[in-house]
Amino acid sequence: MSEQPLYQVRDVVRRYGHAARPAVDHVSLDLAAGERLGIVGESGSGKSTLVRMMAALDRPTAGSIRFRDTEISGLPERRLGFLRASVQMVFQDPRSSLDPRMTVGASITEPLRSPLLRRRAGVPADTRARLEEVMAQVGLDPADARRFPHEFSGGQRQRIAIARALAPRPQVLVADEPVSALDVSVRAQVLNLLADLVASEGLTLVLVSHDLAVVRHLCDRVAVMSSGRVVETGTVEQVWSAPRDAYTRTLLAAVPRLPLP
Amino acid sequence: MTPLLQVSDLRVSFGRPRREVLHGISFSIAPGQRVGLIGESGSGKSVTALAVLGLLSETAAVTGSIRLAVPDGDGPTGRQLEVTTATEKQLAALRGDAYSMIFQEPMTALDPTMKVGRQVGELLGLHGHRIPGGSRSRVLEMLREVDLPEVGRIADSYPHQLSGGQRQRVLIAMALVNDPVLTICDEPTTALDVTAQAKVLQVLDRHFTQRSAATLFITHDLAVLAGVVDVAMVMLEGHVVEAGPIREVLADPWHPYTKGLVATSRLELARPGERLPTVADHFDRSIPVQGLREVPVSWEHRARVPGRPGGGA
Repeated sequence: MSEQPLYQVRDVVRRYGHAARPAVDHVSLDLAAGERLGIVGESGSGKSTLVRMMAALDRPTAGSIRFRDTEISGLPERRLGFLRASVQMVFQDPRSSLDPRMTVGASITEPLRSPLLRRRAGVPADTRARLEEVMAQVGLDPADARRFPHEFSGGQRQRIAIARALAPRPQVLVADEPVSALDVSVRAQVLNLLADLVASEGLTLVLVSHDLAVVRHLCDRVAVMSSGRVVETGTVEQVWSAPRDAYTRTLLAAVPRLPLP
Repeated sequence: MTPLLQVSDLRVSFGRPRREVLHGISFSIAPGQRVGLIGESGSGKSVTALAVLGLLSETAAVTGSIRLAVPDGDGPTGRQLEVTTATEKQLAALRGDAYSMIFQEPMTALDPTMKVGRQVGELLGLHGHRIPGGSRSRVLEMLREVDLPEVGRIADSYPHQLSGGQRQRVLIAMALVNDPVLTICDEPTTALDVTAQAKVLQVLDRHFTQRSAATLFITHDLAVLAGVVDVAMVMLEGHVVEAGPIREVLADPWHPYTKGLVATSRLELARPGERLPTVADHFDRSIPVQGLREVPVSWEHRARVPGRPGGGA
């Protein structure tokens, strides 16, 4: 492939304070446009830290992260507009990622009103029209835009968070454990929604999860992380059916499954 | 044999005007029995757990009956305590001793200013158990029993110095240190990742097996429940809608909601890229929910709401 990957992560290290070992320890990976990459690992494996650095919410201690061939790791916030318009995140817990004092409509359109994104090419200018559009896309009634997050269930709040991420028409969606705070009874609905949106919007997806079954459903490639390092990468089917690394096998075995019907 | 716990027509309501959140549920737990309670957020499962140990706030109105068997050091006495009318003193004598509870969030359930070994030891002292070799040795033994490494160091650590999975195992050590006859586990693994969850489930399973102890295990995750309990109740909107041996409920769910839950829990059966089955594929939420009148005390037979699909009469 002669085309440059969308993301080039090279030898990235993130060290916090005086911790004995870095949270992310010399990680390198490429992400092509349109690719759907899963990152799996247990708590503390460094997977969230890695994607937060890719979304420029955190900075590497060493190493390089290039997005569309521009180094992002040293850029000040005022010069990150191009990244903020193209890369949006969905977090694990919509109770803490949505401002409880803001109406749902204000939360969803906040990225569109940000001085960094406003009037940028590709970012929708008609805020009201875009609000109705994304709310409908995630299966919410646009009339609910005047309500507050606490009036919604966990699954609905995650839909609101997804609508907010979609609002500026990003190219990349980074979802950090988007269903692990949700009841199993609504998990499939949110995963189906994400799969539909990734297909219909042609999104590039980075999905962080501790459950390889979730990643398998949405991604084509997976990186397994342990203690800050990538211990295995491959196609999802390959890692799912024939994991090479011992840690990956432990991770797969730990997921509780119902006995087969 | 006298059941450890006997719940009859339990109703709980909150607020003014009163809003009923638990609509008359009945079930019992025999010594050594492992009972699961599955349901989504707001279904009433945590209210049930809190009611059983008399832990609901004073704003809750409780009717019906909750009876706990009162054992002494040598075993069952045949006496029962009616929780709904018991004094705080009578309840405190049972809580943390013969009956214990494990909560979901280990960070809020532990005292952040006290070393965890002392927190486990406090439980021993509270109920006046004399321990040969002293309480320190019993605390360390208990921390070992929940598979914590370097128990001496852990006992001298504060909660924030431990990982989430380690904190949850400390809470389990606290809940089990007095060898309870029944432990209520309220979503004990929901805040944990899969590897920490697997460890916690293994520790609980081993303890219940070794001590022939009973549990009421509450979760929203059917796959977690399947590995832990013998029998289960499915709860929906404050009603128990299905109950029976877990294997039968999973293999052949009767209630449309349970059917949906079983289908959506089998993520790994869907082909990648295929639409995942959802609860809504099987269960129409617009139909009013009707509950079982009584879950059979023997648990040998399955119980279901009679009537048409959707659970309506």
